[in-house]
Amino acid sequence: MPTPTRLAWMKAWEADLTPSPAELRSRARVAARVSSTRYYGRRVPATLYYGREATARLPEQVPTPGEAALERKPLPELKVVTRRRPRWGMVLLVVISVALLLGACVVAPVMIRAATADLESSLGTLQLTEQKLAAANSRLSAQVSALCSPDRLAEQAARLGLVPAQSLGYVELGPEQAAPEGETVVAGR
Amino acid sequence: MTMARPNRRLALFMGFAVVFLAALFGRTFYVQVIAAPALKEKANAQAVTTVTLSAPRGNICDRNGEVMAISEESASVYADPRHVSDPQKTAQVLAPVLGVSEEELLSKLSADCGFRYLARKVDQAVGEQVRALDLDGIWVSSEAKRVYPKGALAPQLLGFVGGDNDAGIAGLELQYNKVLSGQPGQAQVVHSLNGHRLATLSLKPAQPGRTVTLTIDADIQYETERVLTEVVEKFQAAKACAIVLAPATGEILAMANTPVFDTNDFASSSISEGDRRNMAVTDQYEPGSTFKMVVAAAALEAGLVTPNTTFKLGRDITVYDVTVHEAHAEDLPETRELTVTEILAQSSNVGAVRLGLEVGKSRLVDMIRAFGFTQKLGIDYPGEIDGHMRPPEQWFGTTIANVPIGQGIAVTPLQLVAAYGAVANDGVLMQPHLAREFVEPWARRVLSSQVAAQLRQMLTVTVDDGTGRLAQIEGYKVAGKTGTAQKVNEKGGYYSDRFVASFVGMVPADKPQLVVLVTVDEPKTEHLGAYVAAPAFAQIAGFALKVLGVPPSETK
Repeated sequence: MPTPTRLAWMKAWEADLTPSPAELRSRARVAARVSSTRYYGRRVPATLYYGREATARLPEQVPTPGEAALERKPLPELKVVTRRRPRWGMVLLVVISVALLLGACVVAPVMIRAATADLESSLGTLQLTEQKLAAANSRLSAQVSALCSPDRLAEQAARLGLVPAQSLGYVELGPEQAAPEGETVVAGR
Repeated sequence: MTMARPNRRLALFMGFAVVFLAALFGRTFYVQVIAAPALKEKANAQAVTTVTLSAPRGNICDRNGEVMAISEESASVYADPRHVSDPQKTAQVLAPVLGVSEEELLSKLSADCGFRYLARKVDQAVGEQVRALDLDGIWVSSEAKRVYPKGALAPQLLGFVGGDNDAGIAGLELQYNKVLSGQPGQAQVVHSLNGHRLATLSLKPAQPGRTVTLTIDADIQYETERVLTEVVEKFQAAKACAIVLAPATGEILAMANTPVFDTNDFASSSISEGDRRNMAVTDQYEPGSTFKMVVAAAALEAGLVTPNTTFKLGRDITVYDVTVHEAHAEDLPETRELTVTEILAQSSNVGAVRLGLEVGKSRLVDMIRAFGFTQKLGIDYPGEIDGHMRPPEQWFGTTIANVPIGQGIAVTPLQLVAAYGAVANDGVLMQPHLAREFVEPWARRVLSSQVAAQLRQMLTVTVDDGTGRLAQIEGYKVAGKTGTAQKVNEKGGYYSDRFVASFVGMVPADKPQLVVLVTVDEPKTEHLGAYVAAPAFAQIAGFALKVLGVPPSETK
């Protein structure tokens, strides 16, 4: 004895097997199509092709001599399918994948080039800055060197009244006396 | 029949597709593989430019890091005369800015060419002014310019640069040109149509020139040049030169020549070619009495004499047909007895000839060669010449009477100072050099340490009690020798009124830190080395001792 659940499922299955009016119309069209085909000598009851997503294989027929004359090629296999529900999720996935692939192939190089160009521009600017700084450094070094050149220092010293020492100066390092000896020249006099 | 038609169409379509794809593939293959190099070249020619990356020239610094030569950016103004709409007006506007005459500018601007420099390597500010004028056909570019910030300091030594690339053409700029120049780099850069830089295909960075650090001390160099200039003015001399040497290392602390000029303006100055030469290295002269040290050294080294060996000398001495007189024979007694030390101290010509005769040609020549008077010392300076001595096999009988008193032989000031450097350095001759790097100086023993010490002692007497009294420096023991040499005339004889006055000495005499040579060419108001060169030595050496912090020989 089937369980109630099993019974409910079986009813639903049978109900599902009961063709809808649309399906009946479809079956009629298929039967008419099949019967009109010249490969089939007689009408085949449409009931032979019932069933969802069933593959209809025609029963082997014994051709009449006239039909045998006409029949020169092996019969192709026909597949009768019902309409499928479109798989929108898969379509979306494919579209997105293709879009991403195209993006990767087309957009990415453009972006990379743009970034490279940007970096090159920055590099050029930095190199220019470096050159300017190096030039400024050289200029300032030359100025410093010129300002502390011996002739300039001598000139500045002379302006301040300084003169070269004329004699050696000695410093007494005794515990009681620590005063310089020798000639001293007072600046500015 | 009805089924075959769609298949045929499909086959036809597929066939077209295959042909199309094959054509596409073929074209792609042609473009990407076969024609690729040519197309790449064509594309590169349009978008890729090769840029030369200039290598900045290295600096020249003194031993304390003071910059003596440096390259800095300058502006060069040039014109494309074909694009100058109004040459007259342009010349009028530019003349005061560039400091060039209007006529000169007008002739350049009216030239039938596409490029003409109007001013080269002028100040950057001038370039900015020209840019601000925004004149048709006038452009400003940037160029490196060699600058000598110390001005008139060591011009003959440093030399100068020239040409578009500022290559060294004289002096140390020439000697170390390879080191200073560096290696220019190269970059292949892709530009967009509007000139923006898009990518760098290849980059070989420029290697900047290296800094050359000299053994020269800028302060000592300045003082040496200052003293020499004073001496030249005071004695109305033609020119003078001086070398300050550190004998223990062979480092040259100063190498000065007169006249002193500012290398920054040398192109526009009236300095003659001869005055640009560094006569310390490139000129030779007969050393005169300063050469007596060599014959004394040969005699001592051979063990023929000691410093106290006595000679009985007359006022003159005759060797074959040559008679050599004392300098002031009329003030001297008929005969006198002098020790070897006194021969040097009183600079006795007769005594030196007697020593030479004692030593003999062979030993004397060996000593002259050992001191390096007959060959170049290999200093790192271009244009060095060697000394001149008649080959021994060609000596006349009288040559032995000339050479001991510094005649018949020519040396460079550098050779003479190096020889005295060997005496100062316990008998070891150090190769004199000017750069602290890039040179591996050689050293060789010339004298025994004992003979070197004896010579120093004898030369100290020369300064204390002999002809070199004016070379004394307060607080320091000085050893040295005066020299007064007649100049050779064109006929092979000697001028009676043209002299080279010199003094070469070392200080402190007991442990010399410095050897200084001063030579003054053709002094007019006084010609003796004792009066012309010895005081200059005292000034230069006294200053250098203070700069180097050498303590006095004596303490109180």
